[in-house]
Amino acid sequence: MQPLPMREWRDVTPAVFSEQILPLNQPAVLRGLVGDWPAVRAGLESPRAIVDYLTRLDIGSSASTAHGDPKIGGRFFYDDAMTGFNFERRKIPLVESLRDLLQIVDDVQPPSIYIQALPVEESMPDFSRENVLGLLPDSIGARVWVGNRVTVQTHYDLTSNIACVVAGRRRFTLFPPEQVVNLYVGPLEFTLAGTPISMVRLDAPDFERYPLFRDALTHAQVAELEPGDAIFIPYMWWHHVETLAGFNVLVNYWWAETPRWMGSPFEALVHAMLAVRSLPPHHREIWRTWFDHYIFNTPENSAAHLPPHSRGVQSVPTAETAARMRGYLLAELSRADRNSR
Amino acid sequence: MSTPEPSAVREWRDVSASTFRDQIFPANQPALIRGAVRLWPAVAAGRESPAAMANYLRGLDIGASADTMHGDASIGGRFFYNDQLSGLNFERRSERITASLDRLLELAEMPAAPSLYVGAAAMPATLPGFARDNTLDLLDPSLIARLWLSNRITVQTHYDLSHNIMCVVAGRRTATLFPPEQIANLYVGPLEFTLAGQPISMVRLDQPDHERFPRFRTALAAAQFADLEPGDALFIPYMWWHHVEVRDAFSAMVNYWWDDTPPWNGSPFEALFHSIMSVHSLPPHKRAIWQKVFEHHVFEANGDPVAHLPPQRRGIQGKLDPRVSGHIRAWLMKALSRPQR
Repeated sequence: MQPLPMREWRDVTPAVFSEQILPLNQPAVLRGLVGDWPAVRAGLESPRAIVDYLTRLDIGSSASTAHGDPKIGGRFFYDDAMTGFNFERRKIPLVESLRDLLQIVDDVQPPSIYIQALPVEESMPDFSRENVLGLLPDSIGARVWVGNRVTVQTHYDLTSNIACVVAGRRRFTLFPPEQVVNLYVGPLEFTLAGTPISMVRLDAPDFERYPLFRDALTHAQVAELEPGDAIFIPYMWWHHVETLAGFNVLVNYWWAETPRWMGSPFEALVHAMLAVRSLPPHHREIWRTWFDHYIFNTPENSAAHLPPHSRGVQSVPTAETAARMRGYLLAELSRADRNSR
Repeated sequence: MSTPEPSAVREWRDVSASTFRDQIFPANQPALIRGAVRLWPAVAAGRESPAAMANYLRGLDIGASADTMHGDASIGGRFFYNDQLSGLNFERRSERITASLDRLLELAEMPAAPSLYVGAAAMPATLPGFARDNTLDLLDPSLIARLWLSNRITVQTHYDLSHNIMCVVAGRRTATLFPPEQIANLYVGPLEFTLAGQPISMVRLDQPDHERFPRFRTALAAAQFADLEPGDALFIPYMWWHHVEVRDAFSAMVNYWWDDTPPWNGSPFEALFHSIMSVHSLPPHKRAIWQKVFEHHVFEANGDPVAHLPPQRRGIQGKLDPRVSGHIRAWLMKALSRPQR
């Protein structure tokens, strides 16, 4: 039941990434991808050197920063009653958190501090000039993550992701999207960081309570990254991240391949939870055939037999048609809301 | 290739309220209930003559108007889109029921008459006295009866988002029904530009164009038909597709729609729209991921997806009640209102 090692690539060029790695739609370790970054060299030198490097670039930004008590052992999660979280998140000046992290870097049982997803263009605009990824369009901005020993519970993002280890070491454990069935997903709307997480601890799984998690583990892939290494996490792959050093810096790039006006599939899911999930089972089955017909199983377009001008919402969407649909949905939801009061 | 023949809808006689409630309704199949309303005074009037039928209804009419559709003689009673699918082949106006009764008696004498169809007039607002002497003992007496009047017309294959019992008062009619899951074989027309609110099949039942609509043969093999006489009733379960052909020049029908979905449940149709906007146009491999997620969370293909969460912590995945429903709607409205850069 040991997770499988992840496929590794070296000397990855933009062409190799876009023509070989991306189409596989599988996780990939990109060894040494950013080994020549000035930031990575600073990170290899010492925590103080990378802190100095980041501090020099910072223009006085504040970052969303999670703080956990020493007793959580770096494992950010819900609180025991699941009424809240076992950590606090506040916006704190970057330099302040960096200084705090340096102070506790050698502590045996430190509090957990995690600076999360800070966009570099808003905080360290020169970072991207000095540290170039080269695999993605420049419009895709970098984000910085700095922390001590932390565990980010298994979750997914609605984007593709390249994450580069700048300082420290990290273990990534990934599960394919369809493992949703074996991961015992937590609340959909009350989440640690925007998307649902698995309720199962990876380090000490409670197989009695979560028996299917064994199946998930047989599909897992694991990789340990050193400074200069990067990982490609495909769209919606579940990932669990564990930092393995006392001081860790990561830079990542999220990108969506679909236009924003298309709206979020997650929101469409929540709408279906409101409208379809609680129907009597035989009615729900009918809607399943409808969703299959209109959304999922469309070998040909569900409106292929209609002339293009009559396909309406089933046409290839545009920003304008999507805006109209959004307006319609908003109006109908508001009406239902008024009627229910 | 021979064309499959629909099978006959199962027939029931001497159906009591308990037979309907305990046997017919739970079977979730169409049922032809012979003589269900044979004792109605309205049916007796219809048996006498069109004039007697019209007089009976006039006696109850309070001068209200109803949704009335007019088709040219050239459409042969077949209400549909126009040839370019840019509009409809009929006009819809609000007209007084008495005027339509007069007009129907006139049209009954004409060889190639234009088509007239009064649809879904709610009895309490139009003929409030009707329910005093004409009650359907099979259903909750608080359900609203609706009146439908026409000459020889064809109502194209469509569905309703509720259960339905139609009671034939005057004139014979043939109903042809298709199970909900035949959707993929029915070549459904536009979703939002419709004849009467619900999408219709684009295939003519009397002369199907099998070359253009090859899968319609499969639908026909699953179809059921019922020839109804005055006094008969037909139970059409939720979302079963139905095609109705009125075979006499003066026809009156009364129907009852009911829905056992609680009012706070969202609209499945709107949820489908939301997914058409945000899921359908994803690249196939991403759509396949969301299919798994919908299967898991919405259609519960793997059992209860939140059995591992305490009931009070299931949030929007918990039991849907007015409070949870209001919470989800608010969440969706906020999400849909966010600017889409």
